[in-house]
Amino acid sequence: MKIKEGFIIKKLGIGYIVVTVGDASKNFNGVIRLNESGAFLWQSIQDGADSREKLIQAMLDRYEDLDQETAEKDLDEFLGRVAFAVEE
Amino acid sequence: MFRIEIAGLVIRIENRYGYVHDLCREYIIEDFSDSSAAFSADDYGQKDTTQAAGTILTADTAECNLRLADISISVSEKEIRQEREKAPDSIFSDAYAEGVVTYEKISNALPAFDAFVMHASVVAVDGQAYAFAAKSGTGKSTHTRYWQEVLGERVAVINGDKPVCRFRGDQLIAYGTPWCGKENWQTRTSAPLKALCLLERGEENSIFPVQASEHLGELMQHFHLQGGQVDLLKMMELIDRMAQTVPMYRLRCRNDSSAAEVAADYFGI
Repeated sequence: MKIKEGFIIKKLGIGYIVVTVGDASKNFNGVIRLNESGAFLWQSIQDGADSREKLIQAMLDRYEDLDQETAEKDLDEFLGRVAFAVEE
Repeated sequence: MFRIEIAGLVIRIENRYGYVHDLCREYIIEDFSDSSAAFSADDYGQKDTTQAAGTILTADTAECNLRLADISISVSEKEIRQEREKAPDSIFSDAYAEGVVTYEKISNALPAFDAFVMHASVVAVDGQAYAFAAKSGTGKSTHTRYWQEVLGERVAVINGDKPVCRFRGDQLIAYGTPWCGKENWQTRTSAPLKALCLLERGEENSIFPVQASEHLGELMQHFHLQGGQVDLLKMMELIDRMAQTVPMYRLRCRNDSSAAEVAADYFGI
C-alpha cells in the first residue's frame, strides 16, 4: 500500500493534520487529524512499509509494550480512518 | 459595482442585485452603482483622494482608499442557482443567495491575507474582544445578549455570527463585517481577541482554560473548511497560529445572565 498523491502530513502545535493539495482536493476535501501513533504509521507507509505485516512490525519495534493483537487492532482503526488516502 | 473595506482589506464586489449592496452599506468605501457617485471605474486613476474629507475615516480606510482591490468578487447566475438548490424549499431569493455566495467567496480568499471567517459571536469590551463559539442552537446569541444585559453600553457586538479575524503583527484582531446572522448584530469596528470561549450548556456556570489541541475537532467546526475552494493547509496553519495567540476557554453556562457575570468577572471586566 502507499499514500495517494496529493496528501500531505504536517505537524502543527495543535497536532498532526493531513490535508490534500492540488488535484487531490477535488476528490477529497477535508482535514484528518492524527495522533502521534497515527502520524508514525503514516510516516512508515511513506517510508516504504507497504504491507500490513511491515506496518505491524514497525509498530512492535517502536512501542515496546505493544502486543500483536493490539497492534493489529490499532492498525485496522488507522487504516479505516485514512482509507481514502491510501491505495494498494 | 462597489468597493468595501473589511479587516483592512479592499473588496471589490460586482453585484447583480441590490441586496448585497444594501447589506454592505456601512462598509462601502466607493460606490459605482449609485448615479450620484463622483467617480466611475474608468477615471479611478484620477481619483481625488480628498473625496472623503469630512467623513471620519479609520487609518485602515484611508489607506484602503489608495488601493483598487485586494479581493474581487463576482457571483455568476449558475453559482446563485447552485446555492439555491442547496435549500430548494427555502424562501430565499436570488438576491439573498448572491449575498451568501459573496461572503463564501470572501471567506475563501481571506487566508491569503492571514485572515479568516470564524463562526462565533464576538463582543468588544473596553477595547478587547471576546469570542463565543458554539454549535448552532447552543446559545451563543443568548449568551451575547446576557453580556449586553450585564455590561450595558460597555459592550459592542463586533459580529454576532461570522466575524473576520486577521493577524496584524502578533495580535489576532476581530473585525466587524456586514454578514452577521439573523439578530443583525454587527459594528464596524475592531478589537484584538483576548479570549475564545467554547460555549457549552451546564447546570452551573464555570470557566477554565483549555488546550486547543485537546478540542481540535470541536474547534475546527467553527471554521470554513469545506467547499473545495479553500486552502486547507493555510487554514490549518492559521487555526494553529490562533491557538498560540489567543487563550482558549471552556465556558459552561446556565441559561441566564449569571453566566455572563461569571465570565466577565473571570476576565476582570
